[in-house]
Amino acid sequence: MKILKLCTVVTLFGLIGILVILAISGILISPKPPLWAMTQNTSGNDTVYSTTYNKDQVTESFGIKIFPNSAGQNETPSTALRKIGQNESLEEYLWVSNQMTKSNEFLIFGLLDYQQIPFEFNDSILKLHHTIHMAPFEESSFRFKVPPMENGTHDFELFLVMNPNQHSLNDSFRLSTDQALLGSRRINILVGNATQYSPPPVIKYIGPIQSCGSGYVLNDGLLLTTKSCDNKALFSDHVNPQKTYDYSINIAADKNYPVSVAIVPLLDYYQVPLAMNTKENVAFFNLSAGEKIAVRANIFVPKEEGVHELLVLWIPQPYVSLDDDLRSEQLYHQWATSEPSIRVGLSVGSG
Amino acid sequence: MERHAARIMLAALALTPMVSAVSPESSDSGVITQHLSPAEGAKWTGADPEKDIGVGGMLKMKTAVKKSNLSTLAITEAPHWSAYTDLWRNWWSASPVYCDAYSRSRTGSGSAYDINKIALRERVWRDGSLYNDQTQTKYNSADAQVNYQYSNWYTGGTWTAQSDHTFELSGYTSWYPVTTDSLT
Repeated sequence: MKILKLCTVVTLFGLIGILVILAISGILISPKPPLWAMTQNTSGNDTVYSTTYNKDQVTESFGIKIFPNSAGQNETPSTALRKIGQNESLEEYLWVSNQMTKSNEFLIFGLLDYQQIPFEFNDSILKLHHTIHMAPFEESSFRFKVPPMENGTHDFELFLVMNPNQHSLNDSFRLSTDQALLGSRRINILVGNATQYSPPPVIKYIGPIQSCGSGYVLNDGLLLTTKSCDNKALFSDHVNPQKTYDYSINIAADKNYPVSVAIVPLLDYYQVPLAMNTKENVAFFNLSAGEKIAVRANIFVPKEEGVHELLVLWIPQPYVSLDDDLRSEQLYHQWATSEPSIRVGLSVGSG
Repeated sequence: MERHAARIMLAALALTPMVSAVSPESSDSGVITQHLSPAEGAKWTGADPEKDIGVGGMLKMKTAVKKSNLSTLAITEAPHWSAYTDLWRNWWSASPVYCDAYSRSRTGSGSAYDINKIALRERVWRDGSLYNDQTQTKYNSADAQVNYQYSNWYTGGTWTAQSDHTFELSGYTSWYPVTTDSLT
């Protein structure tokens, strides 16, 4: 009888214990009230997004990712490698999170093997540029489709430019665009019978360069200037239409590790040649530790009046498998995400 | 039209590079941004909060978020991440100018919490000219820092600094905040 009572007491305490644990767990996992909430009201063809938020608690930020058809938008693919059949299009989704208190416009373009290509986006036709408008705190995904590509190994990177139509020539605005207002996501693609990531040999840039010396201020990055190897940033300029405009793209490895990089110049977000006398619109560099150089570049100024945006992309580790944990220690130390230069405002006047 | 408004706030964002809008941090909430008082800033930089000029700086803090809601039951404590930048100068002289930037990963009790990758990139500008461009990337570490000091007979002008921070830990959403500061 005593044993029975003892068992009852033990069971009772056990149950109480489990209830306590569940209660604590409930406290631990009970969701906090959201800091913001978005509602979507559709009337006819119009959809109105409205957002409520606590402005003292939210923070402004912005995120993107690419995920395949088969994955949910709340999952992050475990691989950056995609395999498609010969003559197949690449169909994926771009997820964008505009965690900001105001709506924003984003210009989207893609580079296939470091060349800007037209692609379908959000049921729009093949185009080089696509635009989306995001409501405050909106998170959305968009289907995109890249036309069939040759058999073998490819890199595809999608870029989002925030507020592409902001053209202030104010220096502080220009400085604020340094390594900012742009995000990107790259995937590696195998087409046809290719079974492993085996990129084509990269043709290193062989045009004229100037050494800046190891004491130059730049490290693992780029800076656009008027004079080569200068540290005075080029923010804006008044330029003559249909004339050549010269500038310098200064690039540098870190003093402690080498870098490999692709440099892509853009004018009004369209890829353009590095210089008038060449058709090269991308340049690949392998810089040894401490190597710092200047590349003389120029563009042909458009005739249209207004401010034109000159921008150069720094794309680290081109044609490197993004899934490969065996990347060399040196490459691994390189800053891993693509960065934009300062957006240079080139003002074409009526006179 | 393929457009789906997401309804889940803490979406899995690992390996999601973030655009530097004002910052490239992860898009979930829970980030606290503060412009520190001189007394608080001095704890990071060692400056004299009573006398030195421009002490304070920008601090962003966040508790790392698990990728999956299911793992909320896990016993492992999430790390607390801090990103900080401060530009300041000594009160007794216009020279030197300092810029101190930190990425830190800590436990709730303040001990070092090693993560897979912690990194920092700092650029310091003076009147539109680049004066410092420096990165520090560490693996299986709790700290990355860049401490810049510029000394000359004249150090006036408008100084601005921007730091890109990286925090990556397996099983947690990565975080890429940006901190800035200025000094005139």
